[in-house]
Amino acid sequence: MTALLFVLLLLSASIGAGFLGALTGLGGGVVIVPLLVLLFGVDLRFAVGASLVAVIATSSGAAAAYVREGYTNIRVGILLEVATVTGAIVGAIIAALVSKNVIAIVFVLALFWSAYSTLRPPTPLPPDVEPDAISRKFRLDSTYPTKEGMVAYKVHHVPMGGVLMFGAGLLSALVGVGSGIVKVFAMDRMMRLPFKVSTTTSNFMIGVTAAASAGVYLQRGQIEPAIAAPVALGALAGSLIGARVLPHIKTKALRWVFAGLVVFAGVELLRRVLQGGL
Amino acid sequence: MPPPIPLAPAQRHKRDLEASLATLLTAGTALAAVVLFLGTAAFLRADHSKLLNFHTFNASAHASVFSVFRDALKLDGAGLMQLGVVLLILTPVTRVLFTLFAFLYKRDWLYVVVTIIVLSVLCYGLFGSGLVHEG
Repeated sequence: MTALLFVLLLLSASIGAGFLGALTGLGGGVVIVPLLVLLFGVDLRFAVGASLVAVIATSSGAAAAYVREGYTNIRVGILLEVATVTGAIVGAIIAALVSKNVIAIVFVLALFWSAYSTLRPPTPLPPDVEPDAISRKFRLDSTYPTKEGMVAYKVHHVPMGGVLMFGAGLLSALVGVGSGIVKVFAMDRMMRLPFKVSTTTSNFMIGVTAAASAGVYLQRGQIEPAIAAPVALGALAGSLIGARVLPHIKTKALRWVFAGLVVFAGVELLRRVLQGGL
Repeated sequence: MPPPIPLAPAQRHKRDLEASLATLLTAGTALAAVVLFLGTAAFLRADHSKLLNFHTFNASAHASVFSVFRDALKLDGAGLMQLGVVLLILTPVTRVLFTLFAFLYKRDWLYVVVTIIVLSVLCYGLFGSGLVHEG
């Protein structure tokens, strides 16, 4: 199709993706890759590159707001970023060595898992109060603001958290998602951070992780400007609108619709892989 | 209404850092967005009827940060779009750099080291030559 039509359609679709991603908390990455591959006939390698750029755009836009609110634990973020960016580089290297079908299958599995975890209600864990040696050495324990004032919390299981973050970075680089869900899971369940601290710190880290792998993808020529620019612009715009609208919308029903779409996209991708490959 | 309780110095520094990082992220994203928009407009103005097909992967020519800046200076649409992309990628990198300065200022040597490690890996991703396999 002509460049004009391509860019306009891409912009519109990406605005939708960013909007949905912001409303459901699943992020644009899981939508953008199938969108590009299935609807626009873009090669998976370009799709992942463009999606990573969009992930940087949307998370940087949102991270600014969260950091201001005072929930983000910057030290935890920076420390864990060592793990995520290393994982990202490794993931980017692996991506060049495996076939597109393998990447697609990993993507579909990640897709199904994020659809599932978005629908499952989070079970509250009691906060741990024993001290952790590594948290003490790296001064990770902190406080976060609540209506009653600053509440203290401790950080646990840092090494395990690091391992999970390495995996999150690897996944992000391989399939072009933000892996926010893995990061939140690691910080919330394993490291026992308060939920709002986990989500905001995860958001803080997503951009850096994506930037690590995006650099490699750029060098390999997997970021095509005619795709990545409209996608990033659209996703950014959509996510900013979505964030505005979010407090006024009941997201429960939306999550089911989103999960359904995501599962459908996953099945369709899988079908293509099995019927002769991407 | 009682006067607001002043924050302890450590908390105030944390808040200042957070505010600066937030501004940095917003500014970087906004700048990138403007360049992306201008680049897309320039690209469409020149090539709106060009037929695009990305069905098979062919490595893009806009692949090094230096060549991107060079092409962008020529006001070439695709070059400008890719510059916007590079600016987006550089925004979190700049954020980490800024965090490094903050830790240096506070003489927090442990975290200076941690941040330098993160920065090094990021730079390796963007400029490291061992990452591209030819053929």
